[in-house]
Amino acid sequence: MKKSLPLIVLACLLPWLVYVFIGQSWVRILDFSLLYLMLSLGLNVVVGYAGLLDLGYIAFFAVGAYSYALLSSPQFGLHWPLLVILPIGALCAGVFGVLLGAPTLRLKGDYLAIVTLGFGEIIRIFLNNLSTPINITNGPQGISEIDPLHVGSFVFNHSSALMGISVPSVIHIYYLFLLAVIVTIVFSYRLEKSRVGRAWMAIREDELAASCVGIHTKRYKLLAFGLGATMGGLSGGLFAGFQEFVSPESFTLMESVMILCMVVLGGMGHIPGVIVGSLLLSVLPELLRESAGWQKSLLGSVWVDPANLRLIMFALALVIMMLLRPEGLIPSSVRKKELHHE
Amino acid sequence: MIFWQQVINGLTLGSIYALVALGYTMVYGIMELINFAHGDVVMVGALIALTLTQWFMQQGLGFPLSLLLASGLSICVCMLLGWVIERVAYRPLRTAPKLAPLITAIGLSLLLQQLAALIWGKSYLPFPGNLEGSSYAWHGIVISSLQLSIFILSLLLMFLLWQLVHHTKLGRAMRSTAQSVPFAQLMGVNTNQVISQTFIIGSALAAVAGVMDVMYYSVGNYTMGFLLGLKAFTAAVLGGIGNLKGAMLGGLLLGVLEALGAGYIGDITHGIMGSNYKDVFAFFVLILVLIFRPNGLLGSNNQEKV
Amino acid sequence: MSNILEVNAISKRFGGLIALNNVSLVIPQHSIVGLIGPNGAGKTTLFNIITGLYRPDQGHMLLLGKRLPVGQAHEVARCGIARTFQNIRLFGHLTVLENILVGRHLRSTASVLGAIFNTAHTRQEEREMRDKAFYFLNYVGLSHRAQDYAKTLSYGDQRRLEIARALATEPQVLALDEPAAGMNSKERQDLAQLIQRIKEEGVTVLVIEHDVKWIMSLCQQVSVLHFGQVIAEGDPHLVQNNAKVIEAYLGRGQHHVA
Ligand SMILES: Nc1ncnc2c1ncn2[C@@H]1O[C@H](COP(=O)(O)OP(=O)(O)OP(=O)(O)O)[C@@H](O)[C@H]1O
Ligand SMILES: [Mg+2]
Repeated sequence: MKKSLPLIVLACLLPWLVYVFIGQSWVRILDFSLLYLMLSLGLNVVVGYAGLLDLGYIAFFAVGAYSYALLSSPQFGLHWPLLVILPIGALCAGVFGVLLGAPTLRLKGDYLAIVTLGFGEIIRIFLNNLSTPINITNGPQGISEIDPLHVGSFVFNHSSALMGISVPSVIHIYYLFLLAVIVTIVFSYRLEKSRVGRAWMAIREDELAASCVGIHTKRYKLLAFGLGATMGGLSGGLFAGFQEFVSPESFTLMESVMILCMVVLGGMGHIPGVIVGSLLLSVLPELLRESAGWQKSLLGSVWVDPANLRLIMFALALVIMMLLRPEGLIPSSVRKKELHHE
Repeated sequence: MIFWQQVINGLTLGSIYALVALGYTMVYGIMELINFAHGDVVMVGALIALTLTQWFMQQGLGFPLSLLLASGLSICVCMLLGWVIERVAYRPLRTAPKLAPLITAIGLSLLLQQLAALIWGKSYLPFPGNLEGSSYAWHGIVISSLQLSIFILSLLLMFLLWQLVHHTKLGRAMRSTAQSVPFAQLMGVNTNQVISQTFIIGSALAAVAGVMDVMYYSVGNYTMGFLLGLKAFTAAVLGGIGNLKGAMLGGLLLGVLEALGAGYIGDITHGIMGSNYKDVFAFFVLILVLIFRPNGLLGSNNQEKV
Repeated sequence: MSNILEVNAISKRFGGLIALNNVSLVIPQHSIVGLIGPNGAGKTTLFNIITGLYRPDQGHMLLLGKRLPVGQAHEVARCGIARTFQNIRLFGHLTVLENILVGRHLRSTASVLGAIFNTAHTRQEEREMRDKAFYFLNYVGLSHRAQDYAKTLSYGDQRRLEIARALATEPQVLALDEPAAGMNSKERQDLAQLIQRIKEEGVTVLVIEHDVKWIMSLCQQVSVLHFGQVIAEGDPHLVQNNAKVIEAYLGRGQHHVA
């Protein structure tokens, strides 16, 4: 904990540095990286600790986001306070996690991957189509005019003035997300070192042996699903309030794969790895976005669409990491030994 | 009447699923790996055939000849692709924990899709040539010659594959490799070669299925492999993964289920759900099968040895 | 002496193969009971059924007169039966200490909430668990390797760690599947002493082994399985001279020569 103090200080100063020297748009990118980090930490519980490959993880993000959207927008005319809907969204996502997890528990790893992928797609298809006969999700248009993130009269999405200095909204948001991330990290870390975390890792290592020392493997797998989903749901709520808009487009399979990439790139089951992985993969693509500019100046025209380039990079990251460094960039010593096969 | 029409449509679609499912099942039977990229091999096969058919026609060749040449080339490219995929991405990970090759497979799938998007763009490409052909009507049920050809060609290929697996030296080697790799090696089987050949055969079938699919729907797109692959995988699981007959049966069955589902879902749900939910069917079937009959219809009930 | 475990008319088949055919056993409390038999006789299968990994096709088991749950390994563990595996199954990439801590799962209670809020109770329990874990490591002589990954241990140490992990659940019955396999005679002797010590602490031990001499000197009672059937049971010396047993073993011997 003590060692991380300088890191926390740096994390607190970072948005100001970025704001002053680079610009507001990059603070916004930082905000998004924090959201992704929360998602990765959630997926890490499922994939990294319990060893369950979940390819539909983004669905829980979607559940959280839509819960927020429905409870605080003109869609149903509801405008509940943040501190009520965030937990509700997280809870809904958690319940979904358990419901979706339950039928898949008996499955072996690769089946699980496909089924979770299927679930992810089902949820998206429903979001797209639940506009008739009763309009719940407003279909592909999505839900707009969502209430911003606010506590009492303080609105995070608006800039404020503090002792004469104007604080841009993206910096408010940054601190809010940072707080959420720090709490998530502390909780994850404690779980990892606890009886629960050890039970997950035992299941990951050898499910049969784990059951023979009395671990209720189904229950613990469900718990991993549920907790991971809850974390996803929480970030989904923050996402909806930040964007003030949600649509099914944000919750495609690609997003699930991207979060998996973040977890894998840094090092599954190891929090520092997950942090590095998700920060890298949420900032690098933004740099690539700017590559259109230098492609033009260097090659005369845009040869490779930056959006494609981004996904190609993700794809290569997955393949190359697994082939060359399956333990991730910053692996835990445990995982390193496990994935380096003889 | 509508019922039988849907069954016919379903069988056509199902025979395409079956061809793709065979690829999943063969690879799974031998290596216990879900080759996530298989659906995207189908897509590559389809798009290559589409482009080449167009090109040959522009060179003044007739449609049938163009199609034949293009399909042949596309099959060759896919075979090569299948071989490369196995060599580069799966072979080095053969003894690694399960999660590793699974993640590479997902990466490869994404990579193929994005490369295809670069080459062919993201819009839907129309299949060239006139595919109307003749059709046969019987008591109000219409079968187009395309449907008939797809169905017959699929059955023929499945029959050939069956013969290959059960009556050739390669087939015997494949079966013993599927039983146990070390055992097969003891018996003098070059298992690496057998695994390569399995990928090559599976990819060839995938290419054919791709051509059929792109002709049947008369459009192609870089994402077309995803859903097709997923459905074919479902078909393989439905029949019992690792089981050739199962893949064929599962494919046809899923095709029919889906066609009937799409046809009747509106009636069943009193219009609450329309045919826009038809893609959800495959997933539900998959989940139900895995819950109630995880070894599939024809799979045997194997208990993990301790 | 009462019976701690009764196995009643258990049958199990795999496809066409009858692995166990109407097997019954009684295990007296506070004893060491041997289970021998040629390869493929069904010994491991019987263990798997007792410990809830497989579901028997027929029959049931009683632990101290109460029906033992079938096909639910974690419930069986809760009832007080722990085991080791023929092909060692440790959590290879957890440390030696963590392996034991996982073994303490049933003897601890920390929940998710306790863990994430790091409550006083959780911390207290964690400390106690560590102490207890070291007790079990000392018991098998492995405390100096506590921080190493289980996978890095030597074969004999892995066997002992597996026993310690099973003991950490504080079982009433300990089932050991070929614990002496691959050990030299010195290690076998040490192991016999360890098993003796475990028994003296009040744990009933059920042990599978191929080395007839070793098992005869260790056990108070021996059962012989052959092709899924119990062909002899009781006092080691009587069993050793039983005609059917001699035939089963000699029959196997001739098989090997052929
Ligand atoms: N999960 C399974 N599926 C199919 N057959 C099995 C399974 N488990 C065991 N068998 C078969 O049941 C029979 C008994 O096996 P078991 O492992 O119980 O023998 P064993 O007495 O422990 O032999 P060994 O001394 O070699 O360990 C063997 O023929 C084995 O092949
Ligand atoms: Mg055995």
